[in-house]
Amino acid sequence: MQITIEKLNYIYLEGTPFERHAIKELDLSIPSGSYLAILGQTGSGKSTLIQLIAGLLQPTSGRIQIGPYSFEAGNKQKMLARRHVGVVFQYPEHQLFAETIEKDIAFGPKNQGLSEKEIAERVKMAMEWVGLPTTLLNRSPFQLSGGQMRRAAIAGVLALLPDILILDEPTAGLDPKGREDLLEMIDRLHRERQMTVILVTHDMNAAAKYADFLLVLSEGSSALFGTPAEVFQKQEELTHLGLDLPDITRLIMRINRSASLSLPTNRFTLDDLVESLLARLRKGEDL
Amino acid sequence: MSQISIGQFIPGRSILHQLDPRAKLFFVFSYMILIFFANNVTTYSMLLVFTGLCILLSQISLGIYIKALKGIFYLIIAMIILHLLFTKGGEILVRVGFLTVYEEGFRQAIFISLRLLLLVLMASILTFTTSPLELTDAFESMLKPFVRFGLPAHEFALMMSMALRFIPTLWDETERIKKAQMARGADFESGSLFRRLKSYVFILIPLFISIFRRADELAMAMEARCYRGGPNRTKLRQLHYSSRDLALPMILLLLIIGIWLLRK
Repeated sequence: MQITIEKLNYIYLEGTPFERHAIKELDLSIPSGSYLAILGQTGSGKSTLIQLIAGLLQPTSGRIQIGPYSFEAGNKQKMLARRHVGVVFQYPEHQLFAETIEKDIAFGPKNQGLSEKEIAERVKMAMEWVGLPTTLLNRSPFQLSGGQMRRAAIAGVLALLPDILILDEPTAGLDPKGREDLLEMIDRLHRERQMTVILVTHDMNAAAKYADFLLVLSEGSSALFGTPAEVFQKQEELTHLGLDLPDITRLIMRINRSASLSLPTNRFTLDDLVESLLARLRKGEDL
Repeated sequence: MSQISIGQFIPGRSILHQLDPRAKLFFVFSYMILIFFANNVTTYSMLLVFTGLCILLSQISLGIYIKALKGIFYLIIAMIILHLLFTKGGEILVRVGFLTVYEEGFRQAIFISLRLLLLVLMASILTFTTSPLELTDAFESMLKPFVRFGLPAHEFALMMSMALRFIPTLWDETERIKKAQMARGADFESGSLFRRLKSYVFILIPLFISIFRRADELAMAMEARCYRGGPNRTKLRQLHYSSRDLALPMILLLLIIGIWLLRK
């Protein structure tokens, strides 16, 4: 589903001494089936933006269009759009509540009014996606390890079969292996099911590796927007915004500098880098 | 945090914000007792005018006070109706069918609701103009005299400040869990009252788990920093009385004399 945002504003506690302008005049367009990473320092409005897209907050002014649904200040279509948007919040394991994992994952599909059979299928499918063995179906979610709890909670969102999947720092507090697995799984869902993915992250490496587009937020407005290659070229602006370059980009720049080469900086996996180095070798150039 | 409730602190630089919290707490406490001694039109008007003056001095918009009063609105309406219907005495004012409204019932309805209004307003003035930290410090110093009788004053104050400290945190947590469940299709806004109450289970269970986890973590963090309350513990912010704070007991004295002379 295509997402279009026009002149979006959101103000917390308007008209009180605690008023805060969280999103300022934001314009954004996310093509259907693409992978967007939202970057930005703490307090830049990332979480507010995803809650607005998910229809959990009412815009103060401006318009959000999600597929056929449009919502703006004062209308209630956001309820309809919610069915198509799945949100995995920070530390999603904190939302688990049911006695068994099966019941917890079934919560969403049940609210959508599906039949028992469909629900059972959805639960199984979601568990398979996140890599939880079905032997755990009748266990309490609170007996799981931290990483497994996270997977169960994400399965609870995936069971809704959302067209748009939003994840707010899903890898926070996971070990490197768990982080890698989770991001790979999201990427697979994105590719195989054409899910539109919006990933809020502080991890430049993940953003560079997986995302089609990057949005850098600063104080509620869009500071940079473009493909990873475009955005990570603007090193100075990124540093100014308090953000790093991905490790791989730094490596390429370092090689370029110390070996006086001019390797392209738009390679975001080691394999791609090796590929472009080999290409040079084959052409008979020096390494 | 998305709404203002009773007990919220509203930062400002008004004269009321700058008074010593101990003096304020003592004053408001005595004033609340004093309210119960008012018993005629003159004394009630005197207290009303004084409370109005305090609201003016607090430099906080009237709208915020009205929001704080919303919570007791139905209580006041209920009390007015009960008094009108059931308090007997004096002349009969109205008689409709089997319902009779007596003069005394009318008087009580007005006075009792005024009393409640004054109490809530004064409490709001205190919490609006005093930060929770100041308030607990004042609370602790008021409990000090009872320490010799074995009252754990410091622990009480610590518990109070922690409870106050965690209200916004838990409120945020509640909102976050609510949104997560809403994103999964839970409906907290429509359906019958029973259904809506039932759906709060999906918030309460995760919330309780998180409260226990937070309590554990906090206790651990305090242990790790060797926290120890009670004697010999010094304070970063010392409270100091200034000459301005003397005004409060003087005003209190005047009010007491006023009520003494004017009440029947």
